[in-house]
Amino acid sequence: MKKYDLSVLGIDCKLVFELLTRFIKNEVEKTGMNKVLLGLSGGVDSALVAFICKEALGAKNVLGVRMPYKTSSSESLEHAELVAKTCGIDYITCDITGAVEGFVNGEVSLGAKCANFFDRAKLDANFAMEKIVNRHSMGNIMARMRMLNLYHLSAASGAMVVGTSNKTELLLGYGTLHGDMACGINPVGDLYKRQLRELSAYMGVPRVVLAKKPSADLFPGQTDEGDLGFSYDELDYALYRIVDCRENPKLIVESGEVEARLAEFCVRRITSMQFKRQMPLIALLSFRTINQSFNYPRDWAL
Amino acid sequence: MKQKIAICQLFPKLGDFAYNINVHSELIKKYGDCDMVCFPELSTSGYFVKDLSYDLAMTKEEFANELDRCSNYKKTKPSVIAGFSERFEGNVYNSLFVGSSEYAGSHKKIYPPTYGLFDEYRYFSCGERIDPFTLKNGVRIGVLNCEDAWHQALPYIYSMYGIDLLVICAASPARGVGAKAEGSPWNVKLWQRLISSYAHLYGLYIIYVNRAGNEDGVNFSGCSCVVNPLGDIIETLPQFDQAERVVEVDIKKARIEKAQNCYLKEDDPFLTLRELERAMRVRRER
Repeated sequence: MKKYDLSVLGIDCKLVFELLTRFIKNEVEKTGMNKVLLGLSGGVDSALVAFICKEALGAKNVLGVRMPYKTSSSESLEHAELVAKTCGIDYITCDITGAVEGFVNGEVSLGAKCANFFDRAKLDANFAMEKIVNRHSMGNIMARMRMLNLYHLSAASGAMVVGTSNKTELLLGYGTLHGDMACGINPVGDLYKRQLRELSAYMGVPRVVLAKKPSADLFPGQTDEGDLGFSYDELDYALYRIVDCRENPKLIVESGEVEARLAEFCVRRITSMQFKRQMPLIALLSFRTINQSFNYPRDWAL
Repeated sequence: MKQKIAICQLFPKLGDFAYNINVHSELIKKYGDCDMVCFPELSTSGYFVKDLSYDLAMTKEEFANELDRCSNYKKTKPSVIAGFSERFEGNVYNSLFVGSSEYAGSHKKIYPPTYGLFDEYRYFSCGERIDPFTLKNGVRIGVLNCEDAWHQALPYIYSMYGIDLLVICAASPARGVGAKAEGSPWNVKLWQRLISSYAHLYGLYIIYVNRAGNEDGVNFSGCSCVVNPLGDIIETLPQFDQAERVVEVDIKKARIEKAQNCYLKEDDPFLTLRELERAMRVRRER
């Protein structure tokens, strides 16, 4: 790996912590709610969000939800428990195995019907019916099952769902639309993974959680960095230069400051995943079209 | 000639004029013994109004009536400076209301920003005048609305009117949290630098009234402050939180300071005018 000057990503942890606790307190309480819930995966992102929520709203107003699938590592479950205990919040556990399997069993025949309807096999020589439910789609199904769970619990309890997607993931589109990306508010979406880790260490997130390799834990041995093909430090640095400093990717590659493969990957992902960061497009017909010419703030009269 | 000024670092409710005007009224009553009560930019509407700018817009006369109906300010001592969405001849402006028992005026924001997170010019037209206001006791003030202050010609023009005091109302979002932030958002330091320089160069007291709280994910910095004519920050309000503070400034001191201020004394605005025109001509012809 090329050596990058990662000090540019340094943050004033105390200040960021203060801004984020205020953000949560204000944005939650303004809606008339005072409680939140979040999926606790055992990873550092949800751990940090749990810690911030607890500081903002008090432990009794934050609930962690562990949502393991049968292939999830037992370590993830233990770490989620450790996070809840360390930060002093309560948690519940909802195993999603049954729900996912029920869905998948029905889905295979439906998916086949759908694929036949659109003549998928004719269009794609490599298409095989048994691949309809593959690793990738299983990941999406699990993420959406967890979303379903959280939003059900939210409606049942009157607690807002807090998101845990960081800036690196959001820019690269490394998340499931309507899955782990779904939330009412997201306190960590403007922090790169490295910054999020720095803040997590400051906040006292357990070391074992900080030290392990980030993983979506959708199948054994999976790591984010394996999926993406680059380390978070590399990605964060390149994204910082391209997005935050608005530098021309071609020029920072030509000058040798950022590796070509890395810069190209970032640009490709940022561009192709733009749809995940937007509301669905609405066909414009009138002079007052939602999100085009009908523009109101989210905190309207809150 | 001492001026007692109440600085109200508010957290308005976005789009709830009725609620906000009540908060204003309570504070105007509370600081009824002051000469001036100052509120932040768009303090009666909230900042990220978007299309609400149009829905909430009213003429300055309508605004004065609404404010008076709730606060009776026309019969009380203080002059009031507050932010509102102003309708004027069919356009909507991000304005500052300047009113007292004898007077109702407004400053229409000259430079509604449209960059980064700002999108004001989409919703607000640009003001085109820089008018000083003379308060009851003969104190001459200038008012600028947030981004206006970053255009150095505006305080300069005000200084040519010989104002004693400049009030800058703002809704400045906290930005810049890098390792060197040292506990305060980077742009708070930039504001302080800017205001200190103006106060010093133009021999003025400057009252900077920023808002607090949070809208659509944005934290506003607070950190309102008062700077004396030497450029020293003599009062600072808390960071991020809603707060109020009464300060007393001595206009006589500012006038003495101004009389001794050689930058001002030796400044030649006509040279500025001539050379500016020439520079613009050269630029156009390039």
